[in-house]
Amino acid sequence: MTSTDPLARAALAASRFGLGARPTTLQDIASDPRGALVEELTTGWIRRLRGADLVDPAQAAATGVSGSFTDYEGINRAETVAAFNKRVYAPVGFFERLVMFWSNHFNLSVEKASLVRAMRGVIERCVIRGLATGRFDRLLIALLTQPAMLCYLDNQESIGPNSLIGLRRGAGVNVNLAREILELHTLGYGAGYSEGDILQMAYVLSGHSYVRGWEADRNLNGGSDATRGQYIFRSDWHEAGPRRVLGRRYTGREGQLTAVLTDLARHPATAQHLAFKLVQHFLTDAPTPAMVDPIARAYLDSEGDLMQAALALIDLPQAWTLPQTKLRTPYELLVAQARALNRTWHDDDLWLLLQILDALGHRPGYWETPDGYPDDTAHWLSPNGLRVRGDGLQKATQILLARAPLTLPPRRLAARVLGPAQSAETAAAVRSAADPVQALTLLFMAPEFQRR
Amino acid sequence: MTRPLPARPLPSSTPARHDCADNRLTLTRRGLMGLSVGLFSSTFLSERARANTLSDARLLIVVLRGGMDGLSLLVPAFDPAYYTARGPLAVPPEQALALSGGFLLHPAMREVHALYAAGETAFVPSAGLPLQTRSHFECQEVLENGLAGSRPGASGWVNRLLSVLPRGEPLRDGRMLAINSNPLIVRGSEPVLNWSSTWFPRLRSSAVAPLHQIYAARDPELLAMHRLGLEVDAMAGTDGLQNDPDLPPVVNGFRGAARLLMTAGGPRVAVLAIDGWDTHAEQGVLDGQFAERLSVLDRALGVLRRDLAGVWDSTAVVVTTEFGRTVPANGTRGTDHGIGMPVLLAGGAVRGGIHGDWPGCAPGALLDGYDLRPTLDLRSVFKGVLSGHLGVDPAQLDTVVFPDSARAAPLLQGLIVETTSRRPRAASDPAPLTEAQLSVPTPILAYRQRHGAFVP
Repeated sequence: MTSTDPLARAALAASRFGLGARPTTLQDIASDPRGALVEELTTGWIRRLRGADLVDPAQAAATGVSGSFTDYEGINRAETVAAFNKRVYAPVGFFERLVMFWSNHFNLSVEKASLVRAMRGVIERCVIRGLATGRFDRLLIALLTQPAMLCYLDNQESIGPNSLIGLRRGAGVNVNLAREILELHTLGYGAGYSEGDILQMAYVLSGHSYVRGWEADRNLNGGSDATRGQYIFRSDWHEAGPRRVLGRRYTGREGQLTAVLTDLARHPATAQHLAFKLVQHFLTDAPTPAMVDPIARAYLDSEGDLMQAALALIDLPQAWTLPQTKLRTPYELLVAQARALNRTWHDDDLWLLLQILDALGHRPGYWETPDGYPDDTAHWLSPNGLRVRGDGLQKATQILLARAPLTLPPRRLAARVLGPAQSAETAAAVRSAADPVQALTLLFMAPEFQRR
Repeated sequence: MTRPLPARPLPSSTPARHDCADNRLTLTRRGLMGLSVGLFSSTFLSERARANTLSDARLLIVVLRGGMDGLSLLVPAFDPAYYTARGPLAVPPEQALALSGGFLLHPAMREVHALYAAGETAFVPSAGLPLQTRSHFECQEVLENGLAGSRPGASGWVNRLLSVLPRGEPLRDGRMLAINSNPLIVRGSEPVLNWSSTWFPRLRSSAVAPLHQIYAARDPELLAMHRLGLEVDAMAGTDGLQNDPDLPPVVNGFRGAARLLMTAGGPRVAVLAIDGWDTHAEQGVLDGQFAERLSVLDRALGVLRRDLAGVWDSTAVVVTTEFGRTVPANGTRGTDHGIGMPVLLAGGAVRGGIHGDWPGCAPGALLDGYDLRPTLDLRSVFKGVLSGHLGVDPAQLDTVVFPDSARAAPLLQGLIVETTSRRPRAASDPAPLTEAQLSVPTPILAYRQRHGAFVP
């Protein structure tokens, strides 16, 4: 389906790499769709997310270890809403898609603990947004020293058995975070690391922790009000000594972790793993080396620059020729719906938005396990899932239309949003629908809108 | 905070025996000598002939998320330490419903009480997970993965259960049904059938024909999926319309599950989760949040009993949770995350009564001074049901469904009425656990197996 029609390329860019067209998007980017994607990655106001009701990471961490449910769920909900609204009004949404992609790669589940609930959205905004097109080693190090990540994967009480405290208490390490760093965050399954590497990695991670609420309350172990919930390296918990991970030797104490993560970030298996995941997310469920290797090479040649990886992705010939068989995730679908209608959810209706996302199994922060929401079409394309999409989109359309009248009739809106991708059958169905809710529900359920 | 189960065998790990009706109650009351126990003897339970047949077997697993306060459901009225520890949160005996062995039932459970009187409900008073961390997150994971501890990427035990059933059997071919979500317990290599009891109105019927015209012309895969989704929804009884708005959503979930379990060629094993049992504050006694949730559960089980009338004799429902709650009440008129928890079994295939030991609520009997001590591994209960009710080979239960659990969690006998059809088939050579059964598929691994490593 390679096309020289600028509007067709714009429609492809907006759906494959963005969050769907708003009524003017296709016209806006038709002269240079690829350029519009690149511009998003380098434009400050497109990348930034600010809001009067959003708190900084230190405050979120303190609330997470010492606040009440109302406080930390308030932080979490404000972040979820701010991110959704930001995505509704993004020019194309390529940068947002990358933020969502890396956020899912480093999944955090708010149901794990109050600290994770308080910090998940704040980390996405303050850490991932800043580094989504930066160097992967920096992103990796920044995320793995987040109190919420240390808590989510049980590292905060991981104590080296031969450390000062380990010997005194007979304590040991927890290998959970070590395993996930190798299996999920960097090298990926099947990359040839051993259980021994995982244990060595756990020793490297021992002592990397955060200040618990009671330590801040009692000024114990370096805790105070100023450091409540903050990252802390507990030297007397760390398993000292040189470590060997994937055949390389690492000395030092606190800096040992940074050294190991930097090397892991530059490992060819990590390059392949991340490239595979990018192709699987944006292009196809069946990536081939012809798609994966150029991205992996661009990544390695730039010392793990995620900007270069993103550019290599959109510069793949397949990026503009493969048929659009991937299904939009439920979250992407609801963002795309609001973009098409050029409006976002009223505060009083947000509960319904969250219920629809819940019903579709895709509320941000609610995937329990560290692998993140699955990215294969088979997970999202199910009989029940598609049925609930129809019900949920119809309800959402009705609610969104009730707050403000349409400025374009549905048939013109469909033409603007889908451009040349709109099929004759969809156009006919939208045109002959009895009312706007039905016309727009048909638009949102149409294959051109569901697939990307 | 991880506390493994004690290394020594638990007293109740010897299977309970059920030679006759009088022997049905296997309750022992260690440490409670001299107490007045038992308002009713076991003869309270009726012994009617039941046609529990393997070919009709239905199994519903209900997971109560949040940690259900078992001590307010199954009340140990013979144990004075319960009243001391619970104070005003204790269920008053004069209000509660009589079971047997000295246990009382929360008064919100009227339907369940009637089922108990009919000999169709059983309780295991204090089961425990192999991992005792008091963390919702970890305990739900272990409850669902069926392993001794956390293992990221592991499949769920209901999925592995389906994988050991023979192809061609309705139990396997009907697939497992997951209501409202696709929790870890059903994830894995075997296909899952989903249905959601969403409350919002169904896509208007006038929109379906034009939508399907688009799909027929452009996307046959979406057409097939959407058609099947509507069909399943119709079989679940909603016929494209909203659920009964007078019923709580949980009850609508049970109704849909029941209808799908009754469908010819449909699923025989279903999983349903109910949220909201994490009652840290103001949990209430006869009224309030806990009693309201119990009452919805009771109503749901009553509705299920009627909706499954045709196959009720061959039905077992297992109601479980990730942990029990602290024996003493806390300072906010609630209870905190605990360890020991009761299991509720209901259905015509269930041998009614109390199965398993009571550990006691006295301070000296508790774990760490505030938790009910489990007298059985929860997997022993599941195994007892799967073996007795679905005829699963015990060796497969020990190796595939609950890997490496033979010693830690021996099968609990006697939970299920003897089947009147064929005996469970004993596989002569049980298949060992495979990586494919134990793991949820990982796309990067499949890619690497096919294309190899990246060489820069």
